[in-house]
Amino acid sequence: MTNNNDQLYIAKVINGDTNSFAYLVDSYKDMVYSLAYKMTKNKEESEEVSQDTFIKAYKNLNKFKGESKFSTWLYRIAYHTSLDQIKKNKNNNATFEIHEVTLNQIQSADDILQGIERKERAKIMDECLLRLPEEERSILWMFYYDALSLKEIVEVTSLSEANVKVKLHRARKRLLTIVEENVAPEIISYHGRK
Amino acid sequence: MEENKHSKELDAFAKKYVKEIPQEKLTIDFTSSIMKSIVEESTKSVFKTTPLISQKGWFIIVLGIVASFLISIKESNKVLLNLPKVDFSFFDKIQLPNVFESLVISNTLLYAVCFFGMMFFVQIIFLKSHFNKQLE
Repeated sequence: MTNNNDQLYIAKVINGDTNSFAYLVDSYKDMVYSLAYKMTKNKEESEEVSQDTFIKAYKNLNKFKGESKFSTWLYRIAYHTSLDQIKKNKNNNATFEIHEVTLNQIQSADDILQGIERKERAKIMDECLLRLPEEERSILWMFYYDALSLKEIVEVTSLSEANVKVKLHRARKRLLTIVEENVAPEIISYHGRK
Repeated sequence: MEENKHSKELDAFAKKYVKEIPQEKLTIDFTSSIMKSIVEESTKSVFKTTPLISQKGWFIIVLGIVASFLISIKESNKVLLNLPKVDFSFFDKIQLPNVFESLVISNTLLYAVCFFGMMFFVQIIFLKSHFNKQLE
């Protein structure tokens, strides 16, 4: 299941060619760092988590059997290392309440975001995503950004599939609530114009 | 049904906008710093020392000593080992002058020497753990 190139370099590292690990680091460093940042919300801590993730991966590479993608296996390490880091800092967020969502709400938030320049919109969405609870935030990121399947997310998080589905649904609703709050002035003026 | 319909809309909304968020980028020298740490880790594992006598070995040795001690107490009337008899009477024939006859050691000096010896052995334990930590 693992990418052939990954498997080749993994075999090289296991056979003693330490430098081949650099290929794996280069291939996955941004993916690992992004997940760590989405979870810890701190650049220095994410860098630390990324470093720990790759060192743990290197030490345990012989335990990787290739039954899943190497990226999923690496993601699992990064996810749990980030959780440990969050626990260490007790970096808990104030959570947003989830309200029932109407089609009208989704439509108006979508229309408002469409009216904002792409770069600015991405920045707003990033800020909104960072305000979600870390578990929902990471699941949403894995599912939509890295296009991990539900099965892969189950493997990474050790949660049940039903639980992942519930968290994903909650995360979407909460994200919309946060987006609405972030772009509230625009929404008011949008409805005023209508 | 209504709930499912909303789920689809929410799914489309999230898919559309989460994908637009730029991925965080690491510094260029991240890979080299990782490789440096890994090389350091590998070097440490080369220097990792293992004790000559394992914990299990020590346990057996201590058990053996204690057992033989207990047996010797229990059967103290019996001779455990038949050692060859050496005649030390030749010491009496050599007339060595006792040079330490006039030497008087005060209690303070005696305590100081004992204390020094004790601290010396304590230091060995500290130094051992210190060097072990350096090699970890």
